[in-house]
Formats: sequence, structure tokens, C-alpha cells
Amino acid sequence: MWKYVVKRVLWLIVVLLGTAFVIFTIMYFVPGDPADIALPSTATHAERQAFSDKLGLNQPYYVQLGRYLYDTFIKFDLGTSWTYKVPVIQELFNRIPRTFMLSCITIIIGAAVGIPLGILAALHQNKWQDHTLMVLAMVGVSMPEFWLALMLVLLFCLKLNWLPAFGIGTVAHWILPVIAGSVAGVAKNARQMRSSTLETIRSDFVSTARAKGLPENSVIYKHMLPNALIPIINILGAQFGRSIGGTVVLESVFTFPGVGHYLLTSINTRDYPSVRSSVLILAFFAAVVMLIVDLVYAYIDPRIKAQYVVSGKGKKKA
Amino acid sequence: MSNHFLEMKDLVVEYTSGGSVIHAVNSVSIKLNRGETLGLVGETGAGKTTIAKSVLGILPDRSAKVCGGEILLDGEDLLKLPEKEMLKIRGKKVSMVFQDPMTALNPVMTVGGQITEAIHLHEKLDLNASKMKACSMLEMVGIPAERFNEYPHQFSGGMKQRVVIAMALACNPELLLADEPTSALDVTIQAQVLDMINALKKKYNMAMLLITHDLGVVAETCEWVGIIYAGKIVEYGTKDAVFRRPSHPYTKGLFGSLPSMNSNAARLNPIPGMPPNPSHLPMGCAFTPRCSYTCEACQGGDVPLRELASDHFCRCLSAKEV
Amino acid sequence: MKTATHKENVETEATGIPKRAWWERSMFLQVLQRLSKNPAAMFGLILLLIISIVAIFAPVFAPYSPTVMDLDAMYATPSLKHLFGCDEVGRDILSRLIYGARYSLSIGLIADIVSQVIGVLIGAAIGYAGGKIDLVGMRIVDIWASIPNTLLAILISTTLGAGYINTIIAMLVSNIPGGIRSTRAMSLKEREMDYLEAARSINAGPMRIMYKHMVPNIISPTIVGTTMGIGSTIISVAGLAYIGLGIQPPAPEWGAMLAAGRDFIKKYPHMIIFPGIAIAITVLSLNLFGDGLRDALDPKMKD
Repeated sequence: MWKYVVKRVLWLIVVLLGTAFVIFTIMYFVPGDPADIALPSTATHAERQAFSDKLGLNQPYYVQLGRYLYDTFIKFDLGTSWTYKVPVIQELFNRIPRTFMLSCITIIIGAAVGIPLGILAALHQNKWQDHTLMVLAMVGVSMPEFWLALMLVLLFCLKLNWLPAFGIGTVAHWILPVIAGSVAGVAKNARQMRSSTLETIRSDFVSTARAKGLPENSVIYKHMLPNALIPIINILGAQFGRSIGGTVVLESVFTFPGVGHYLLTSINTRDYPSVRSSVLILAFFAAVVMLIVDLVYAYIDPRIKAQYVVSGKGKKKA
Repeated sequence: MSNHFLEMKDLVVEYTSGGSVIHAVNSVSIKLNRGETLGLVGETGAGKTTIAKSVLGILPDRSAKVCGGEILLDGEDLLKLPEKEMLKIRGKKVSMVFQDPMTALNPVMTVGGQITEAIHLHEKLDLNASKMKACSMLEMVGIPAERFNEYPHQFSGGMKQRVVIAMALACNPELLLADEPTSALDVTIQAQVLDMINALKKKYNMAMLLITHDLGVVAETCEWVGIIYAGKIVEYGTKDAVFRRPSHPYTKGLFGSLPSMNSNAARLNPIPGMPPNPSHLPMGCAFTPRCSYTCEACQGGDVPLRELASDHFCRCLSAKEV
Repeated sequence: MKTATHKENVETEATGIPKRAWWERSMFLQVLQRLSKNPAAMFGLILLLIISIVAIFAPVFAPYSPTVMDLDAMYATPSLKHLFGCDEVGRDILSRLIYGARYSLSIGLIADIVSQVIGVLIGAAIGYAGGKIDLVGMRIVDIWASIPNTLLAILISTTLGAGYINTIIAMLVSNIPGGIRSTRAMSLKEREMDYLEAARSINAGPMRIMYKHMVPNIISPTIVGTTMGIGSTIISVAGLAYIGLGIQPPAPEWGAMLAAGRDFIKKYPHMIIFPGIAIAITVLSLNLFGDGLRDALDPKMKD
């Protein structure tokens, strides 16, 4: 099993390097002179020159790439914000846990609420529970998250005045962002789980379990469910990747001071070191979560686990 | 009190799928005593698995419906029993071995665990004692007990089927429903598994309903034979009677299509035509389109099962009595 | 249903196989038939057709021009004159929604279809080449796919700037790796399938195997994936416009309209209510149709 973990962690490092490379390369082509953006308009030509030299902006692509990778991964220096003139890491320090937590909570709720609802719908296939849930899920999947967020703000903040619309500070500030972010996840998971359950329930081994005389509850929860869950867990990791993207937009709607919000303001102010580093951090978290999910998945599915476990007597096949 | 252990009377089962009704089982009657094996022979789709699943009451209740008939086990009509009672019977009094060993086992549970589950459920043993019994069942089917904690994918097809059999026999059932237990296995393993089933049958005086499309398997294991076509029994009798004097044209076709070791035939002799569509069964005898003995009367109405001899019945107007 | 397809007609009196009418034999028409029995899918399809027709013939349906500003009607609330009200410079929202459909539908369609096609081609090529190309190629694709696609779209939009073509490019780059991976996954699975072995055993050449046997079985999930993908692309494009990238005013893109209305939620909520409903209804119709398509192509799941 450890062999697999090590393999995946090494791959994570490769992915990170690759991601940094992609990010750097794409932004290399951003139009505009950094000196114009970072320095006040009164700066002299000499000052601009000094600035460009310091950042190595006149050197060839691969030198700059090397320098960037070195700075980022060896020195852990994520650059200096052109707008605020402070290290980007400092700006992100408080924001990272907030964004990460928002993403994680929405994914967890998406799974904890969506999966049971999907099972419920499947077990009552074609009855009113199934139809209602699936209609709601369909609507949930079709709505843009940020529009739902706006509607929630409209209702709960502006008309009813129950919850704050922006910022951070109390638990109440988290409620709407979490709800807005979770709906799509709940809907998607409910649909997938329903489909997975319907397929698993048809399996031969479920008939075998029934033929053994197991009460229907045992058949469903002990035999069908663990098997139906396996493909869903696989998808959860990928969902995190999408949810990070959605979180960025949500933070904009709620002016939620996380990495996403910082990213967007940096884009608007053309503060490119901040943009680069924010994207890198977000991508890093997405990759880490996907790794964790992959490892969990490999652990619980005995078919995969067995590939990496070398038992004392060696693998036996009759 | 019926004097047969298992007696099925005029069982009728229908499936509904996408608006059309499929007549899977059309008034089937069977009798079986303890210690005897009845072989149900027929093509795929003839309704054999449905018959077995009806005995256990595990037909998919969304699409399948038992429309008539009785299934008497030791005098009790299984079709009328409440679910609570059926739970006690399944796995304990009546057990089933499914056709495809590759998919019959739960992939995320150890094989030992799956057998233990059956034992713990029905026998009055605690968990440890159940595990011990499960180990002994594994040994009995020829699997070393050390493999208790392994998962199904670590076993080959033949071994998986043996696990399934161990699971089915763990609680000493009185009736075993075996649905093509060896069809997915190669011939040498098939022989081993059949021998094992026969030995266990003798040991426990178990009655067995063996579903198969292989006449060779029937020859080796069954005392009685029932030939099924389009959901009806078309010929029924002791193995000797049916094998020596196959009377129904379908049965004759089945035997005739077996390649003989002696002849130099260049081609096989299939039965011409295809089985009828179970949602559009014709009036009268369903075999008529493919039958070379057919006459006007065959399509007139339902053909009754006629007694040709005391141990031989046939549903054909042209069959001759002995 | 995984079967080898063949054209020879074995349905004759002699074999006893019942003859079917020509419309019952074609798989394509069978799918259409199943689809027509699904009310939700038909509803989605009709809705989609309505939206498409309105978008294509926008000048006919829109009461006003989407760009004409009427400074007397700034922020006008819904009324008989302006059914959905006006935006911050007096442009009629209903008209902007109608013209906006052109952007959403066209970008959604183009970006999604092109990325799927490219994804299938590359995925099939890599899979077919096998060996080192496969190994290295898929590693590269995996890295590409690890970057969350919204982030990738944001990066590319930031670099290229706003605009129609740039947005399409951003969507392409972020969606292609997904298409490559799923095509390759499917072709790997299919390669093992017995029906291909059966085709090989009757001496079918590799081209014939690829195109007559494997591709038809891959096409169904690809088609379903493409249909659902249009919906998520539309939402992504709206999201990009909302945060200031993608398509910007005065173009009547739905997401950009939401951004413009954000600051006036309290006083003029009509500015954000209607564009969002437009997005939701369009994506809903695509999803309903996509779901129905999936059920029609694989009917086993229904009962």
C-alpha cells in the first residue's frame, strides 16, 4: 500500500511543477509592461530599468521560467505584489484557510446531503419521492451558482435582513456562501448516487444476498451500498477541482475575503505576481484533495488495494 | 399433506417491460421428493431461472408478477407466506446457486465473511462459531481455510463457484436450486463441481432442482427430467424414460442436435427456426412453426400434458403412448 | 447494447425471425422513438428549439435593439413598455436577453463540440499509437487536467483579454483534456471487449473494427457528454463574464448583465433576476434533453 502512496505523492510533485510551468507560460504572454503597472506614472526611465532588471524581465523565457520555479519551490517566495508592495504570501496567509474551508465544507455537505437523497430516490424509483427529488436536482444542477448566491442575498439579506451579505466575522457570514456553494454539489451527487444505486441493485450479488435470507435492510446497507458508493467517491475528488473554480466566483458575489477574491482583484489591478501565486495555491489545494480522495478510494476498494498489498505468502490465484 | 417434498402446481409468472407483457412461465407443474434431482432443460429465455426465483420469492417485484399457481414445500404454499417467514426459509431450507460465479459474490466482502453471514443469520451460533463453520465449509468444497479473508477477485471462476456452493450449503438446506451451476466453467472443473454436488446431495439427502441446457449434465445427475419450451413443460418423466424414448418433437430435436462421436457428419443438426417471442406467444402449441410433425389440431387450442406411461408425460398430440 | 453491427438481412420466413418494418430496424430511429416517449426529454427539446429559434431570429422577436440606450428609462422596473425592465443605461432587458441567447448558445455549442471533437481525435490517436507516445502523452494530459478548468479559463482570459473568440479559446483549452481522457478511457475499455475479438476472429481489418464496431459504441456516451457539456460551458462562460473576463458590455451576455446588476440588487433586483432565469432555463433544457438522450441510448437502466 505504501508503494502506491509514495508513487502518488511523487506524482503530485510532478503535477505541481507542471502546473507552475503552465501558469507561468500562459501569463508570460500577458500584454503590458510590468514596470508601467507596478511603478507610479512619475517613475523615470532609470527607475523602470532598475525595476525590470531586478525582476529579470529582460531575460529569455527559459531563464525567467527557471528563476520562477526556483523562487517558488525552493525559496518558497511567491513574489511581491505590484499593488501592495508586500510579499504575496503575506496577503494570502489569512485568506488561504478561509477559501480552503469554504471549499471543503461545500464538498462535505454536497456528499453528506446529496448521497442519502440519491439513495432515497433510487429506493423509491418512479414514485413521488423519486420524481420530486430528481426534478429538484435537475434544477439545482442547471442553475449558475453565482446567480443562486445573488438570489439568496436578495432574499435573506436585503428583503428579510436575516443574514449579512458580505465580508466575514461571524458564523452568519458563512451560511449563505456555504448554501450557495453546496446546492450544485448536492444535486449532482444525488443524481449520480441514484444512478449508481439503481445499477448496483440489479447486480447478481444482490440477488445472492437476498437468496441467503437477509432482510432487505441488510441487503441494501451491507451489500448494495458499499458497492454503489465506490464510483461516487471517485468523482468527489474531481468535484473539488470544479468547486475551487466556483468558489472563486462565489467569493466575488459575497465579497468573501478568500484567495479567490484576492485573485480577482489582482486581475483587475493587473497585479500579475499575485495572480500567478493565487492560481498556483488554488491548484495546489485541488491537487492535494484529489490525491487524498484517490488514496481513500484505493484503500477501500479491495480490488485496487490488493494490487499493492504483498501478502506474506505472495499473491495466490487458484 | 402432499406426499411430495416440493410440489409446484400451475405456476404462472409474467414480466412487464416497457408496456409489453412477457409470459415467462405458463402453467408449470413439478413434483420432487427428498433426495431426488429434477433437471429442468430448455433454451435461454425459456423461463427456467424464473421458476427457481419464484420458489425463493426473489423475483424483481417491480417488473415480475406471479399470476397464479401454488408452490408447496412440505405442504406449505410459499407464495402465500409473509416475507418474515420467507426470510427464514431462504438460505436455510431452500438455497440457490446462481449461474454466473463472476458476479454472484459481493466484490468488497471477503469470501469467508459472506459464508459466515449466511451461517450467523440462520444457525444459532455466535460469530466465532459461525466463522469456524464457514472455514469447514470452505474445506469441504476444496478451498484451503487460509483463504477465508481473501476477496472474490482473487479466485478463479471455478473456485468462485465452489465458494457460492459452500455458501448455499452452509446451513444444510433441504432443497437446492442450482441455476446452471457449471455453465460458466470449463469441462474438467465442471466434472469436479458436479461430483461434489452429487456427494453432498447424498450426504444430506437434499432435493435438487438443477437448471441446465446441457443434456450431458442431466444424464449424470438427475433422476427426473423436465423439458421446458416457451414457459411450458413439454415433456416430463424419469431420466430413463425421456432419454430412451424422447417423444416431444422439441426433445427429439435436442437429442438429434447432439453431435455423435461415431458419425462422420459434416454439419450439426440444429432445430430450424427460433424460439417464439415471449410477449407474443401463438395460440396452441408454441413449437408449431418449427415442428415437422405438426397438424391442424396443434394450433387449435392449448395442448394438454398427456400420460404416455406411468413415469413419462408429453405435451404433444402426435406422441405415442407406450 | 454492445453488438457488432451488420447490414445483412436475416429476417425471412425461413429462419422464423419476424420481419420488422424499415423504421424499426434502424438504430438511429429506434433511439428517436424511445426519446419521443420521454416527456421530460421532449419538453427539454422543445424548450431548446424555442430558445434557438428566438435567438436565431432575434431581430424578429426582440421589441427593441439591445444596444440602444434610453436615458429616460434608466433602471426602469418591469412594465408593459419594457416587459423585463431596463438596465443601468436604459437598454431593454428582454431584448438584451434575446440577443444574449446568441452568445450563450453559440459559444456553448462551438466550444463544447470543438473541444469534444479535438478531444476524441487526440484521445483516439494517442490510444491507437500506444507505447511511449501513450505513456508520455497521457502524463501531459493528466497534468493539464489537474488544473481546475475554471482557473485555466481565468488565466487564459486574463492573458488574451475579453472578447468572443478569446472566450471560446479559453473554454477550449479548459475542456479539451477532459475529452481526451474520457475518450481514451472508453477506448481502453472497449478494446478489451469480446465483440471486438469476435470481429477480429472473422478477419475484419483494423479499420473496419475501429469504425464499424468500436466507434458506434463509444459515440453514445460521447454524444450525451457533449450535450450536457454545452450546459456547463454556458454556465462557465457566464461566470467568466460575471467576474469581468470573457464577454463584456455592451455585448448583451447574460453573465455580464448579472455583473452589471450586482450593485443594484437592493433597488433594482429585476436586473439580476431575469438574466439568471434565462441561463437556468437554457441549461435546464439542455440537461433534460441530455438525460433523455442518455436513457434512449441505453434503455437497460429504465426498469
